[in-house]
Order: sequence, then structure tokens, then C-alpha cells
Amino acid sequence: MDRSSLNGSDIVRESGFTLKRKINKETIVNQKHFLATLALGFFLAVPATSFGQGKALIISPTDGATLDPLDEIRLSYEVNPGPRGDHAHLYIDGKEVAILRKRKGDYLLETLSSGKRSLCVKVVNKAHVPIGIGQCIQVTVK
Amino acid sequence: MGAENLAYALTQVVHNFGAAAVLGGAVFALWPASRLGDGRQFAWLILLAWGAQILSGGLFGVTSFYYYGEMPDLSSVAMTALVVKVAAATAGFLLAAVYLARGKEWGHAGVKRSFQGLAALATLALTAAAFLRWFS
Repeated sequence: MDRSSLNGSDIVRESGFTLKRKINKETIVNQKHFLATLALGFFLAVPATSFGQGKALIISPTDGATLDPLDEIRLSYEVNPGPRGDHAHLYIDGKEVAILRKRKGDYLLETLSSGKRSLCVKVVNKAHVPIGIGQCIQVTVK
Repeated sequence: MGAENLAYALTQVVHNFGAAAVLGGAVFALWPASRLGDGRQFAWLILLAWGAQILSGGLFGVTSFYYYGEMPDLSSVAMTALVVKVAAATAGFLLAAVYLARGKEWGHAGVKRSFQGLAALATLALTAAAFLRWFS
């Protein structure tokens, strides 16, 4: 293949005949820059902002409630994971104690020791990372 | 969201092919017919695959941290599974590397034991991965 450059255009000769293929080099370079910028922007865009829709509600017990450990204590929740979330985790005093795969339901809280306890339901993504949607309440166990 | 999912998905692609290669490479060197004569080629494949496993595993954490500023929340079972998986990957990588460095001095039985060990470590890592996935 014999290539000769003519003011930003290429004439390509192949197999004894000439293919006059006009290639605007500037256009190709610009296209490459555009695609590279687009790809970079795609990867870097919107890292930790605008988590979008989704919600996590603890329906019961209510925030500040006093609970009797002799009663069966159930945490009732409702979760909408939104576009970034997948399921929810339940935490007692910051420790993960359950995976909540149903969007709405309740979970039997076992062995809550007396004192002030923090209960949290957090939406997480498929990699189990909290995505910033959740609700925490404080309860007192007698 | 598209970029985030793409980042996780591409990392998962590397991780999945790495998993297939660490187990498949070791098993195929031993069964259905012994191919230990080509052990070094298999060992290179397994070494690179373990490397890919370790790097892509770390990349999952980096991706999570980049997008959310925190690492995945793991239950105690999942955390145990992760520790087992990391230990198996490290041991597998080191065993493949040691075999490539010194395997020529080992007899047939030693080479066979090495590949059996690599297969066992891969099985352990893949089993732990299932617990990591579903107990988180």
C-alpha cells in the first residue's frame, strides 16, 4: 500500500488501482478527542451526588419508643431501593444483623439488651455498600 | 448510575474469568488426562488469573469507595468468607509463583501435589465467594 499525503487528504493506492479516499485528518483527530472526553466524562461523572429516589422507613417501633424485652419486638419496615439500590441491611447499634430482601415486611428483633439502642435500616447496592438512603431510630429497652 | 454499574460489571467480568481460570486451569492440568508436562503454561495461566482475582477484588472496593465513600457492609459470616477468599487467593498466587520459580527441581509427585493444591485453593475461594455474596 502506497500512501501520499495531500493537504490533509490521503490517496490510497491498492492492488494496482487508486482508491481516492479523502480522509480529513483533522476531523478524525477531533472525533477521537471527543470520544475520549466522552468516555472519561462517563466514568467520572456524578460520583457521590444525586442519589436519586428511594426510601427506607422504619414503621415500628417509633423513634424514642420504650420497649419491654419480654414482649416480642418486631421491626416493621418499608424500603424502596430506587435506581441505585438493591436491598437493605438492618443494623443494631451499628452492627449489621440482617439482610432485608423484601421491600416491605417485619423482622423479629432478638436479644435486645437493656438500655438505649440504635436501629437502622439502610438501602445498599448489589455490592452491599450503603448508598445514602436509610432511617435510624433510637429506642430504649427496659 | 450507568457508569457505576459499568464499572462494577467490567470488574465482575475480570473477576469471573479469573475464577474460571484458577479452577479450570488447575483441574484441566490434572484431569481427565494428566497434562503436567505442560505444567508451566498452566501455572502461568493460574498465576495471572489469581493476580486478576486479587486486583479485581480490590477494584470492587475501590469502586464502592469512589462512588459512596465507604466500603461494603459485611456481616460476620461474609467477612469470614472474605478473609478465607483473600487467604486462598494469596496462597494460590504464591504457590503458582513458587512452582514457576522452583518447579523444575520437583519430581512428578511434587508437581501433581502442587496442582492439586491449586485446585483445592480455587475450590475454597469459589465456595467462600458464594457465602460472601449471599451472607452480605
